[in-house]
Parts: sequence; C-alpha cells; structure tokens
Amino acid sequence: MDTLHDLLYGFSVALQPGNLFLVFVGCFLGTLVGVLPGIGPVGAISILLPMTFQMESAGAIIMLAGIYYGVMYGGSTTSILVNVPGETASVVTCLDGYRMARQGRAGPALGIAAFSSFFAGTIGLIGLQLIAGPLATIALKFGPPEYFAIIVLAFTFITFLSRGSSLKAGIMALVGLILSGVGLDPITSQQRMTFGILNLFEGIGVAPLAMGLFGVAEVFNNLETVVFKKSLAVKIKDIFPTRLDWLQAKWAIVRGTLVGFFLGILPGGGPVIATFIAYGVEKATAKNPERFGKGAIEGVASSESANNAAASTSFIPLLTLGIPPNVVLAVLLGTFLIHGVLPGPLLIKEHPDVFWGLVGSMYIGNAVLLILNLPLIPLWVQVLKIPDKILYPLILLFCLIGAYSINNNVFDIVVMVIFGIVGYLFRKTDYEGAPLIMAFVLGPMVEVNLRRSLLISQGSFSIFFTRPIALGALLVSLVLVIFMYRSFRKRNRSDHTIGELEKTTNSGL
Amino acid sequence: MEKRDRISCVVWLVLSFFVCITSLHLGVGTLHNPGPGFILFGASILLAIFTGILSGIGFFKKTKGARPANVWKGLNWETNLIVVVALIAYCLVLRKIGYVMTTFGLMLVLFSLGKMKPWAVVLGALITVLFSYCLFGYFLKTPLPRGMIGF
Repeated sequence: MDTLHDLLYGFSVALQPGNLFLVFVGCFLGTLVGVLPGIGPVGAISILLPMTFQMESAGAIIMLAGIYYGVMYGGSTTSILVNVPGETASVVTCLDGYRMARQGRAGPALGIAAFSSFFAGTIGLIGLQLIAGPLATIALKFGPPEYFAIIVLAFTFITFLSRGSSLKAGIMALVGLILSGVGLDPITSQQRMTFGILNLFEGIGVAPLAMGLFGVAEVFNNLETVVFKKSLAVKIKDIFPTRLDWLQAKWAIVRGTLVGFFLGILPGGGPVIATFIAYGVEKATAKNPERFGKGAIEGVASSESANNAAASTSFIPLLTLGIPPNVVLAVLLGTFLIHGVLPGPLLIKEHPDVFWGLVGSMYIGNAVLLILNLPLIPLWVQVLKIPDKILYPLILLFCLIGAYSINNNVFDIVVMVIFGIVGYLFRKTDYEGAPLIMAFVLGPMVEVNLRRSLLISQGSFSIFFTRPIALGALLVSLVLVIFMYRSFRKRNRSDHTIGELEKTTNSGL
Repeated sequence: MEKRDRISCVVWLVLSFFVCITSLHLGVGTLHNPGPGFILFGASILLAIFTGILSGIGFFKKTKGARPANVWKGLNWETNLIVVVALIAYCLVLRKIGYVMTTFGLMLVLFSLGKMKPWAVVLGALITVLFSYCLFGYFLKTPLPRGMIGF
C-alpha cells in the first residue's frame, strides 16, 4: 500500500508540466540518439549534462534518464530498417529484424520491437519500485568493508564481461582509478598529481572525460572513414503484429524480460550483455533454431525486451547502493552529484521527489516512447538521411559548448580534446573506454572505503573476511577471476593448436 | 606481439612508474593509517603487473602466421590531424577572439573537410554559429567567451 502511495506521489512529481515536458524531451532525444549511429547514450548524456545545471534536480535526472531508456527504443528502428544499429544494445536486433524487413515484414518487426520494449520496460520498472525499498533498507547496514567489496565485485564483473581482452579491460580500470586520484585527497585534502594547475585541484571532470572518450573519439573514428549510407528501400506497412506473430513471440518476450531484468541489476551487466544472452537463450530453447538469423520474430522480441528490462533494472544498484552498474549510469551518477543528490540507501528518504519522480517518469516515458516510435517512424527514417559531413561537425560543436559550459572554462575543452585523442588511440589499440569511466567514477568510493576499512580494523585485512556480505562479494570476485583465467588458458591452447597445425601444413606444402 | 600492443605496453609501464614515484612522494602511509598515495601506489603496481602479463603473453604467444592487420590502412587519418590542429587552435584563441568568430572559423574548417561547395561551407558555418549562439548564449544563458570583439 505504501509503495502504491509513493508511486502516486512519483506520478504527481512527474506529471508537473515542466517535468512532463522534460520526460518528452529526454525520450525524444534518446530516440534520436538511438537512431543516429555514432553517438551513444554516454556521449549524449555528457553533452546535455551542462544544460541541466539551471534545472531542478528531479527534472534534470528525469530528462537524462529518459535519454538512457529512450536510446533502447530508437536503436531498434535503424537496426530493422537499414541493418545499422544506432546503439550497441541493438546489434542483436539486426540479425532477425533486418531479415524481416527484407522479407517485407518491417512493420511487424518494428511493432513487436516497440511492444516488447514497452512490456519489458514496465516489468523492469515494477521490479525497480518493489526491490529498491527493501534493498535500500539492507544497504543502510553496509559499512566501508561491504562497499569496498561490492565495488571490487563491480570492477571484476566489468573486466569479466568486457567485449575484448579482460586484461586490457583491467588495465583500463586501473588507468581510470589512477585518473580519479588527480585532485585533492578525499581524506587529507593534500594535492595529488595536479602539477600546480589550479583547474586540477577539483580533479578531472567526469563530463569532459566521457565526452572526450565517447563523443569526440567517435567523431574522429567516423571522420577517417568514408561511410556510404544505405538507401532505405524497405516499405513499412501493418506495424501491428499478427496473431501468429504474437503467438511466436510471447514466450520470447517473457524470457527476454527475465534475462534483462537480472542482468540489468548485475554490476558490469546492462542492456548490451542482456541482448546477447537473451538471444542465445531463445535460440537454445527454440524448436527450430535454424530460423534464427533468417527473420525469426522471436529474435527481435527477445533482444528488444532484454535491453529494455535491463535499462530499467540497472537503476536499482545506482539508486539504492550508489553504485552504477554500467558506464551510462556512471555518467548519470555524476549528474546526481552535480545536482547535490547522493544516490544510495538514504535517497528514498532524503529525496523522495527524485526517486519516486524518476520511477513515475519512467512509466510515463515508456508510454511516450511507444507513441514516439510507432507513428513517427517516417521521421526517424528521415533523420538517418542527414549526411555525416554535417552531422559530425555539429556533434563536435555540441561537445565543445557542453564541455565549456560545465565551469565556463576553456580548460574543460582542453581536457575533452585530450581524452578525445586518447579515446581514439584506445580504439586503435583495442582498449575499451567503458571500464576506464566506471573505475574513474567508482575510484573515490574505492579509496575512501578501503582506507576507512583499514582505519577501523587497525590495518587488518581480516575485516573483509569476517563480514558475510564483504566476504561473499570477494568470493564471487575470486570465482570470476578463476573463470577468466580458465577461459584465457582455453583460448590460448586453441590458438597454439591452430598455429601448430598451420606450421605442419606449411612445411608439408 | 603487435607493434601497437608493444607501444601501449611501454606507455602503461611509463605511467605506472610515474604514478609509483608520485605516490611515494605523497606518502603511502601504513596499513594502520593509509596515506594519500596508498591507492595510487597499489594501482601503479597492479598496472605494472597487468602490463607485464600482457606483454609476456604477446611475446610468448605463437602467432598464427598471418600478419597483423594495419589499423591505419585505407583510413583518412589526415582529416583527424587537421581536426586536432583546428581544435588546439580553437582552445588557444577562444578567450581572446570570442565565441562567434572562433567557432565560425572552426566550423569553416570542419565543413570544408566534408568537401562541400564553398558557399555551402560559409553558409553552414554562419547558420551553425548563429543558431548555437542564440540557443546557448541567449536562451540557456551560457556565458560564452566574448573576446576582444565583444561577442
């Protein structure tokens, strides 16, 4: 009953004209970012972050969160129509969505994508509102050792679930941790690696760093390649799936939602991983798995429901523990802090307007996205036709103004440009920016909680092994490290065998 | 081991060495009372170990015979170089010359890289600058640098 009362309060916040407008703006921009290949939610949120400085905290967070879950909807449109995923979480949708479009079934593909997104997003939200309260109550009992162990677990998950080399992801996390150390020491206020530069006393800003690594680096990456945009030859008709489509897709939606629901909560998880796993689960449980990749509607339904459910539930660790489970929410955590709101166990109590307003806005946002995505498909198709030679200079300009307006300081632009170049070089050397940003945001928390734990225990590491939650988190981390080592050994052995085979073949020839 | 991995390993080793020295200067402290350099010291040591493992794997790993792909081949990286130079120049003169003129110059460079017609480049740069100035400077009240010209 309390939850229902709180939810109604959330709706009253979200339905205030200003906030309602911001829900719409966030969803619109999110869909736009999802449609446009190149700029992802991290870059978009970072660029728009300075614009929210004059807004109230609830409104700012509502808008930026709208971008995050809006991207999940928008990404499917381009995946289905032109086989170009606007966002990484929509890559899997291409596999069957584009095939359906080629078979003249673009309408049902877009329809099932939108409806399954709506269903999964709503289920994720129900989970968020039901789990967040009890989890926050438990989290109140957490001390520095628990927080430290959970953040270590998050780091390990990020490394474990990274797309490329786990070792390189680990290196990126360490670089992020080092970068987070720039500025004043959080306990003694001593200067660290500031080189006497006044602008570095408060540390490197998360927004210029994220804009550089994700926005500017993406522009560099796209400027050097000549992209030929695919013509949009597919016709869209009958966006409402047939009865048969629903029968085929219904369990895929349920399974996709469940996978996304749990992977969203997991540190290091989130929508991208959820889509791949949901698609794999669907293929494994299908009676005719050979249909997958050839236009199976279940493929679209599973991936779209997974990424939307994950987008909703990934707010749970951020709002209740203050620990962002993925890089987009790490940037969003920066938004919370800039607006003077500290996410964590006390958020619901101290800022009910922000928490319940956000939950309420997400329900409304889901409905707004359904309206935006189905009737406005022709508009999004037109957006895709904007030439890159116009689009990328504009993105760069938005990044420049965005970085400048954080502190009205050219120094932030310099930081952004430097990290843009660094991010571009990372891509060339197969290093991912996501673990760096995550570690950068979580770095101060790691440091403070580790040092406090050691102060409490008078220098003994046993504090991490005598408290059940901390011990549990560290044990899971250890298991993951063992898994990573085993998979590395396995991969290395198969590489070695291939090398030996090739050597034998070459000498035989 | 690929050349790009070799270079990145050297960069990480230099970084870890620098951070290690810095953290020692800051004071690592003791386990009873960790100092400002405590986490940095740990991170630098771990970075060195990870880099060592990465370079060790690359050194001892049997290659499959195929030459590693050249990530720069076929790419128009000179365009990026021009953009970087333009951005550096932008940062240097933004405060002195002001937002409108500096951004107009930058947009001229960026649009001309897209091989647009000269009139389209000038018109595009002009519209972009005016629109962004109205949006950010006027509506959103962002105090954009005015410079010696005054806008």
